[in-house]
Amino acid sequence: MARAAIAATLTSVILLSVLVVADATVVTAQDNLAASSQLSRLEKRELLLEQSLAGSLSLDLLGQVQTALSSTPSECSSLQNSLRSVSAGSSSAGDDSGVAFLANATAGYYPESVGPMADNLTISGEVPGVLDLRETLSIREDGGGVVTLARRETHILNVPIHVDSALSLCVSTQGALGSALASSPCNATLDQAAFDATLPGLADQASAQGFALTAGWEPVGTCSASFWFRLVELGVSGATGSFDWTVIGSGTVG
Amino acid sequence: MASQFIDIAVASGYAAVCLSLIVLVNPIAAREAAVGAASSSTLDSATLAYIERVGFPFFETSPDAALCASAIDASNSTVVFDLLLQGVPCDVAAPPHYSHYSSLTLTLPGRTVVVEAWLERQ
Repeated sequence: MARAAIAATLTSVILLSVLVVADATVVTAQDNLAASSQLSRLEKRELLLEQSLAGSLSLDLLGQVQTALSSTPSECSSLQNSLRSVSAGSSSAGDDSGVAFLANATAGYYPESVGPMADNLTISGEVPGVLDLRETLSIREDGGGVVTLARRETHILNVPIHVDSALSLCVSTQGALGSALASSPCNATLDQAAFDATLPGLADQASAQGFALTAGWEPVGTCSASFWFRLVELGVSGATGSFDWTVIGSGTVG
Repeated sequence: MASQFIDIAVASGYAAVCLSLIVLVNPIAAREAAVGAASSSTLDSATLAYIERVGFPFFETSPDAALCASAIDASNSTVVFDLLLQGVPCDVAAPPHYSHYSSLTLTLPGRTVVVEAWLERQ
C-alpha cells in the first residue's frame, strides 16, 4: 500500500515536472515569437515612417520653392543665376508608435548637365527643361534601441516651371521689341505702330509655350525708348498646388 | 502513518507549486503580443502600399472628397482605411469587429492627414 502511494506520488511529481518543463518550453518559444514579431513590427513601422518623412519633407521643400517662385518675379537677365541660388530646408523630429525619429532635408539647384538620376520617390525624378532640385535627405529612426534605421539619400525633385521656354522667350521678346522700337528712332508714333505690330506675334509665340505675354514701352528723352515685358506661366501644376510663375524683362533703345 | 501524511503533504505542495507555475507562466500573453505585433505589421504594410499607390502630392493637392474616395477604394475585406483631414474624418465607418488599429500622421505643407487603418477580425 505504502509502495503504491509512493509510486503514485512519484508519478505525479514526474508528470507535473514534465508539464512545467513543457509549459516553460512553450512560453520560451512564444516569447521568441513575440520578440521577433515585435522586431518585425518595428522594422515595418520604421519603413513606413521613413517613406512618410521623405514624402512630407520633400513636399515641404517643393512648397517653399514654389512659394518663393510665385511671390517674386524672376528677371530674364539673371534667370539662370537666380534659379541656381534656389534653396530650401526642412526638418522633422518626434516619436511615433515607439519609434523616435529625426529627419533633415535640404534642396538646391540641380544642373541638367549632371545627367539623369534614378529615383524612388513618387514625387521626384529629373525632367529636362524644368527646374530640377537635388534633395539631400537624412533620416534617423530608433525603435527603443532595438531596431535603428539611418539613411542618407539623394533625390531629384522637380518644379514644373518651363525654364528653357522662358529663356528662349526672354531672348526672342527682348530682341523683337528692341528691334521694333529701334526701327524708327525719334518718332514716337512710328515706334508705337511698330511695337503694336510686333507684340501680337510675340504673344502668340509665348502662348504656344504656355506663357502669357504683356509688354509696354515709353519714350525716354527725344530719341530713346525703354520697354518692359512680363511673361507669366499660368497654373503651373506644382506638387503642392497650382501657381503662377512670372519672368520679367526690360530694355532700352536709342 | 506519519510518513504517508508527509508524502501526501509534500506531493500536494509540489503539485500546488507546479500548477501555480503553469498558471502564472502561461504562453497566452506572449502569443497575444506576437499576434498584436503581426497585426500592426500587416496594417503598416497596407498603409505603406496605399500611400505609395496614390502618391504624396495626391494627399497635398486633392479635394477632400477624392481623398475619402481613395480610402474607400483602398479598403478591402481585411483592412479598412479612413482619413482624418484637418481632424475631420471621412464617412468611412470603422468595422464593428476589428482586431487591431493603426494610424499614421502625414504633416504636409498644406494640410495634416491622418491615415487610420483597422484590421478586420477574421
